[in-house]
Amino acid sequence: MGTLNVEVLTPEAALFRGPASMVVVRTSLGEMAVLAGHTPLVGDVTAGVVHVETADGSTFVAVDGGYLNVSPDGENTSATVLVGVAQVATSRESAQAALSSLVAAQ
Amino acid sequence: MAGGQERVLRQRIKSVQATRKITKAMELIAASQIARAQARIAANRPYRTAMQRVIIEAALGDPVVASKLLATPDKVGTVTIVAIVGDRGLAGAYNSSVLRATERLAAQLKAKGTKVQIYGVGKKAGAYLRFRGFDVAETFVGFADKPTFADARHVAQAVATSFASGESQQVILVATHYITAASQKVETRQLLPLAMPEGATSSASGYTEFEPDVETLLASLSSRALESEIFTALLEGSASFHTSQQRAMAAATENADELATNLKRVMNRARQDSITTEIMEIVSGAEALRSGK
Repeated sequence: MGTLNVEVLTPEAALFRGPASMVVVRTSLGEMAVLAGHTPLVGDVTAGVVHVETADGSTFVAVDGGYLNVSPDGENTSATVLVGVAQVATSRESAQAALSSLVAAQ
Repeated sequence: MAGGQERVLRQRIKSVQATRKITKAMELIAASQIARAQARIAANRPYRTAMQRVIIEAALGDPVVASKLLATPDKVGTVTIVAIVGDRGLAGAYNSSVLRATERLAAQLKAKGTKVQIYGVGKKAGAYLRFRGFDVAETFVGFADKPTFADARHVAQAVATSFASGESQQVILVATHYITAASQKVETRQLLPLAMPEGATSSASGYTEFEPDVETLLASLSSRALESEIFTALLEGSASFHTSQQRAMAAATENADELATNLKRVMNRARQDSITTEIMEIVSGAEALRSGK
């Protein structure tokens, strides 16, 4: 089934790039988890916390919203999260705090 | 008087050398900024590529909706032009070539009976275009050297507001495209309605899911894509600005060197002349005294 390669990109920098077991984003239709082998997808991402689950732990990214593109890449799957402004955090709590300051700044 | 001429020349050499010091410093500063600006373009590239990918996927997902939303209307009453230049001068033809292209485009549109509304980025845009009688809706200054995404968003929001309210039906960007350090080109490109990126073919063979549906996605994509395109243009503009400035200041430093060398030659000749004259005067004076004995 291959691996899942996750990229979290902002216009100013790539915040996360690498293999992961799962990525969870919040879309306008609800929370969604993407695993390796997911169907090709184009979706929107609303303001919230993106949760990337890797072999050595979790990364949380507070994002202000954008898009998600899942596409096959050979036998692997690549999931790209495109957001305007974002901040990486190590725990869900600090990501939530970062999120509220991101939303307040707009 | 010969001595007076020498003093005037010495003064001029000093002022040329002072100018050279300034141009040399500006050259070095610009050179250090180029690398930083290039790095920021490189950091932006993955996002921009992925954003275009999303637009292509969405547009190919529902061609009927896409052709409705992405097509330029047949009748365009007002066009918004976004011109991106620098905040400072002394950068060769960087500012003027973008502004001249803007002026040309605006004149062409006006000749066809289309109204033109201009949004300018960079201090140099407002003065130039207003003076020539164009309708400058807003100018953004203070970040052309080192633009952030928040700045791009700010510009995009102003432009999008006028487009969304139906005030203008088309948005065109005039900016400098940074190809390599040695080549930059003024580029005119349509931003809204969203243009289909070139070479559009789907990477995913077959079925792609959309969440929400393509129509909603494409509608929200235009504002995101506008931000992304304006940000890329701002980054490329700042890299082009620093490159042009470095080139212009290197040329100015060289000119100052040449001018100083020439002036020094003229000064030395003047000094030599005055010395020769003085010696002649002394010798002829001594001659006259001796023959008088």
